[in-house]
Amino acid sequence: MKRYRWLTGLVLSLVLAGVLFSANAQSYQEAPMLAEMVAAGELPPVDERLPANPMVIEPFEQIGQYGGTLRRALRGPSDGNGWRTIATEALFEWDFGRAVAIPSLAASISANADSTVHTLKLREGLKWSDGHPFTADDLVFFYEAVLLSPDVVGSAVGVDWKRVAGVQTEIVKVDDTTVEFRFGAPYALLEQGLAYHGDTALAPKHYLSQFHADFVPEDELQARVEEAGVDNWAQLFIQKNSVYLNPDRPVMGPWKVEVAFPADQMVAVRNPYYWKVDTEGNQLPYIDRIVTDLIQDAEAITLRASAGDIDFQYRHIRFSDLPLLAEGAETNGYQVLRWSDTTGWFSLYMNQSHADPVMRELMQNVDFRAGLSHAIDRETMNELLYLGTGEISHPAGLAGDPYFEDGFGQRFLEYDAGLANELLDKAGVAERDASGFRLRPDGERLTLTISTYPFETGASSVDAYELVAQYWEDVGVQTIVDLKERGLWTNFVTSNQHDIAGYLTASVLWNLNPTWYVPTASNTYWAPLFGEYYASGGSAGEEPPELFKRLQTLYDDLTTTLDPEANLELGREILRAHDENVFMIGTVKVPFQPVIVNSDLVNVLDQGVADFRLRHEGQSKFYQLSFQNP
Amino acid sequence: MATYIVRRVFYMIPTLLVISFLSFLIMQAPPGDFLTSYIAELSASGEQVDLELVESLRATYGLDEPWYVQYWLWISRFVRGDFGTSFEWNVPVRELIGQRLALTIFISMLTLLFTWIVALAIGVYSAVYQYSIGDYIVTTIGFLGLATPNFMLALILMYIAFQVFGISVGGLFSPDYTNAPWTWGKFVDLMKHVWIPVIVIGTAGTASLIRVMRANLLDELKKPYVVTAQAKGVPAWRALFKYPFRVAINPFLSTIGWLLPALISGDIIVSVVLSLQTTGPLYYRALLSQDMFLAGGLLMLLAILTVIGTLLSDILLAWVDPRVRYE
Repeated sequence: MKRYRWLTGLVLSLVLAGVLFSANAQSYQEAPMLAEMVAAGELPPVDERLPANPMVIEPFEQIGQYGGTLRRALRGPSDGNGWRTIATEALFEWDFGRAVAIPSLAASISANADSTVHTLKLREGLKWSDGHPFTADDLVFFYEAVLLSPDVVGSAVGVDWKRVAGVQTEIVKVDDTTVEFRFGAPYALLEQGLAYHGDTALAPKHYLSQFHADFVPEDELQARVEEAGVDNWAQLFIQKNSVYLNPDRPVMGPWKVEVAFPADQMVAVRNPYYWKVDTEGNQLPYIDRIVTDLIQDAEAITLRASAGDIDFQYRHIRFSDLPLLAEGAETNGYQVLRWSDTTGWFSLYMNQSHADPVMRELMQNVDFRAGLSHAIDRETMNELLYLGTGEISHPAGLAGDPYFEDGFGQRFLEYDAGLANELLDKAGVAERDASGFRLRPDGERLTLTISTYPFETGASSVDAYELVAQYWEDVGVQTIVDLKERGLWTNFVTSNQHDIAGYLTASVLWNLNPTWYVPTASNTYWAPLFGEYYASGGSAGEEPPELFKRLQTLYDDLTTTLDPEANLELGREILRAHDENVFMIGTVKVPFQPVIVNSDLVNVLDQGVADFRLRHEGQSKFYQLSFQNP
Repeated sequence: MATYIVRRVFYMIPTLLVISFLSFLIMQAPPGDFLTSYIAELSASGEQVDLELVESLRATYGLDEPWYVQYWLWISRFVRGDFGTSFEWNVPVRELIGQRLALTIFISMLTLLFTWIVALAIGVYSAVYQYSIGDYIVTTIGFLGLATPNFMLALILMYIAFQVFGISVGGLFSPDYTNAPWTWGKFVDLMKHVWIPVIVIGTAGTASLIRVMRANLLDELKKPYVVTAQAKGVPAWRALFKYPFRVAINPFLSTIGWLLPALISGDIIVSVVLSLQTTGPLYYRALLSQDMFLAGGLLMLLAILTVIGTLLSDILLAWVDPRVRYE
């Protein structure tokens, strides 16, 4: 991978040199609304606003036209990811709909011999949306004033590289456009991690430092705290650092918020200092404004989409609403794309760290899990939930994930009650009581509780798990579906109180959120206690048996192995363990995610992957979307 | 009468204190706090929840303090008019509520007007023409209104509004007007949308009021003084409105006390379904996410309005019906 990276760097700089050359020959073009501001003397000319080496983007289909307003809808302030994923930038970004991280704000990256120090070179002359230069100081500010501050670290969500091998990561300035990321061990996931969550690490020092205790005298800061009506400076800082709730905060994204929630409609307008151009030298983005309506009810969002009042969105749009959406498509001028769905399994997380020793032994017995799996009639479930269009497998990665191998997740799938009974008998629950229910080895009645909360992935979780319960009762296993409120459910399953958790499973880029497949935190629902042990460095939870410890070691190795082949093999081995053991029993997966797209919109990714880690709709790169008739 | 009012106002203070204490206890009752819901959010997308981060946030928002300290911090500022900051929206609670209050009261007043006009007219009609065909028809409609779930009616009307009249779905304004300053055009746009919530929330209220009005008026109309008046040749409308109507309207006035808090909490489910920019959905969301200060602020506002409303009812009753005494 190291060698590879040098090569990429070389090619990249050649391309950049070429672009620079041509860029000097032809000056850049800008949107009419910005040209007016330049003419009025409110803004410097476009060539001065762009960096020396702007990022050049080849639009997905065609060069676009300037203008227009793109309409979306979100459910409230907690829905912030719906804005983050489409309108924020980072040092790296994903290629169109693929898990390949390409340099973005960074112009290039290189690593030292043992890959513990990664050197990032920024583009020359980048500017925040207020025209202030974006430099290495801003990144160091994030590191020193946010990540290391016990007071405001709360605003740094998802910094996966904060500690590597238990050692705090450092960000060190080399010069104005160069920083070093210094890790405690070789680190392989930086570029992907930055493409996924890197927007958090961009903090405008010149703006935010006026709200930080390290930079402002106490009485002055206190006055600002009181003026804002908050309790302490940390609250003030977190408030000011929000890219979508605070319109004053400078951003690096294609649009900056002009009117923020709690207004009923969030309005964002183009960032005049945006640092990307298309292949003809037009400054991006093409679209002038993004307006986002605040609509609390998901049904109302669907209705609005079916009325043609949403231009590009899949968030809160559900597979089960497909008939309604298809009906309105032609008359209301939109189309419904089908993006692949990577999380929509109704999975059964078999708790391997069960608190009850008898149950734990059963849960850890592969015959027991296999027996339960064979008892499920997935074909019928598919007919009932998805009219037969769903996909049947266990969660063990998914085609499209680099670590996935053909054939993973296909064991114990066929419906065979005889085989199920046989396997369950073999697992030590052959005895039955007078009502025909199986007994545990200690003579008590075997009762399995599936704990879940009401969620939808094209069908309702309640329906799906009730069906499973019915199939299990048919082979003599008493089963209860326990519905909880979401917050309580999270609490319940992360504190190891459940038999079986019923929830979705992610399958693409799981190496960035390993909790799904490796017990690395208490939200590894199939082994929370072992996950807690790992997360706390052994001070909490319970030391896992060899099988699970091996997964944790494999993951540690994966994060520190840069050689692509060796890295892939490590990931495959983790998924192979899931393929063989089926810690999560899969049922049916929703076939695809419907995506609403205005028919007038071009450069939309037609075959996307509906996944948070790939930044949802954002993987279609909103800055290069364009209306044909703006 | 003045001393009566002063005394009643004085009683309101301890009542409100007790309410504030109880409501705070109730808000604290569900396990966890705002951060628990925040963690649930992160956890659902598979993110590793960093304990250091959670502890820092908990300290920042004072959630690591025991509940009585939190109560004291909240109530001592509340009486000074500082309602605290909403965790979720990160803006002062007063600002959040203030922003939605005017529209909320406007819709509620309109709804109230609609309910009363419809209910009074139909109630009087069906009492005067008891057991006529008209009476049966309006009674049937009234019962239907009582029995139909509001959110259902909301969805149906929303669909009709969109399919038949081409009105944008959800909210009180078309997208073009949402953030626009107030103009005649915006007002017209509001009127185009506002009839749906008014009808939906209104119909539920009319049904029961029609029945009450009808029953009360029927009782009154059979009394000897009405018969006497009619016998003496007093015009029909005068024999109806001069006395029997004023007596029959009593229940309307005594329920004003409940109407004031309903102005704020609105019909929450309907407001959520119709995505009205009123305080109801705000309250609902605050309770779900355990956004304590926002929920607390709204709850206290409801309590204050209930207490004031009850006082208003009592005063109005005494004024309309001299038989009611202050003692």
